Amino acid sequence: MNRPQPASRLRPSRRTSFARRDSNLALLGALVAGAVIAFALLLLLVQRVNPEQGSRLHGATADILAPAIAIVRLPFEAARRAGDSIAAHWQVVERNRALKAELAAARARAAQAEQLAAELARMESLIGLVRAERRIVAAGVASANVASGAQRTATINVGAADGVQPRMPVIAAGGLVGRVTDTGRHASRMLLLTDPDSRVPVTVVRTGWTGLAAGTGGSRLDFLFEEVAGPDRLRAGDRLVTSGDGGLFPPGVPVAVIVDPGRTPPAARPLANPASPGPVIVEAPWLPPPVIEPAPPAMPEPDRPVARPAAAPEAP
Amino acid sequence: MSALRRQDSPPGETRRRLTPALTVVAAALVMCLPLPLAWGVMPNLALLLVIIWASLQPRLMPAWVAFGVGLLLDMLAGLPVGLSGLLFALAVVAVRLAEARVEGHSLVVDWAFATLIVVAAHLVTWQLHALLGRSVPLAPLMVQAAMTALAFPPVAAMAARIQRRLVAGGEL
Repeated sequence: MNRPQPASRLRPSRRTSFARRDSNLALLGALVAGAVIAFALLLLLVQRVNPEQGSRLHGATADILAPAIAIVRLPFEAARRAGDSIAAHWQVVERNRALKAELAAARARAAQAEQLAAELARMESLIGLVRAERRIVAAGVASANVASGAQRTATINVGAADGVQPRMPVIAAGGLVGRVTDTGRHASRMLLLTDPDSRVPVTVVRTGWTGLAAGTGGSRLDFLFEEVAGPDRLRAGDRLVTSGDGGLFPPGVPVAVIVDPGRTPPAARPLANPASPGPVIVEAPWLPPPVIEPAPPAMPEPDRPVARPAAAPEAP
Repeated sequence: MSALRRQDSPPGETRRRLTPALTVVAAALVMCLPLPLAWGVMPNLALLLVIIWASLQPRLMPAWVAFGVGLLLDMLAGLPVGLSGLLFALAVVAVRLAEARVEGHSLVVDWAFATLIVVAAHLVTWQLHALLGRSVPLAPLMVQAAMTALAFPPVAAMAARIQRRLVAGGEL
């Protein structure tokens, strides 16, 4: 306990020393803040030059995040299942009728498709066509990450230990959902096809036009394509499947369906739900990059005899 | 330095000092979890808490702490590393500058000020993404900023409660 008399005598000088200390601390704080901000800017610029820098860190934290995600998913998954089963219970009769009609139509189509597939296989064996095979690497559960409005990513609960590598395409039940970007040991991070950075080479099933399904950051995709001359126009309901161009995504995987063909560029809705991808499979990149081996260039050779039957009499 | 040594560390001191940073870390973790949300947009809770703590407990949320938790959020959320770190540090500085000029607090003023910082931060995010060579549409970022602004009152109330229970034990 200080007696009031000396305290009042001492106070002015002490206050000034405190004030000096405070202003020194404030100055120090401002300096530290400035240094921190400069360091953060530098960190960002390093990534501008070398984007791989951040990838390892992202992969490592995906490992930390995956168990927490698995736990949080449980109640929501259970609630969704319960909701689904209740909804299914109420609509069972109408659903049954609609499905029967659909099944009858589908059977006729399936018979036709089978015949076409057999014919295609015969033709392909005639010309000796070699098709690249698709290979499944791992199966896991993906859950979307909405921490920033600027990007659409998801965490998958399989990682490098399961053979997952960056670039690999990720496919859900509905269709393509995106590609792996960073891998951790037991979890990885993927870029969803709705991310503004995502471009997927696609083809329109009905017309055969090719283009890119570009993410917008929203729930829809932009279909970027060259306008093709002719009477054919894009219609709502046209399906987009991967074209296999670029060699990353295997061809024929459903991607999206055109919902607004009048807009420029036309808008498409992804067939898989990027907001919650759910169970997914990770495939190997469709075409591995070619290993270049030195070989002499091909010599010009005569046409095959089957291609020009008229040339046969000239031979002798 | 001398400020640290001068304290004779009462028992709850360490916990008290770490609380603001830990709540921001918890918010960053929550942001990365798959929760069902309107428009699939998560409010930027970590940024909001950084702003609130920088105003409630300036000494426990200096720029370098904000930078650290921002860095953690960047890694967790798969953002360009340093993006949130930079934004959080800038937000702390902005709060400091404003606190030095404006006296007194009311919910409406604090809310308006936080909204201003959040919107500015998201505009800066937009530009930083462009700097990093990613063209990002502005609309989703602004929707997230709006959601963040809406989340201010409950988050501020929660922070005030934590402050009363843990932080306000000693005077700082």
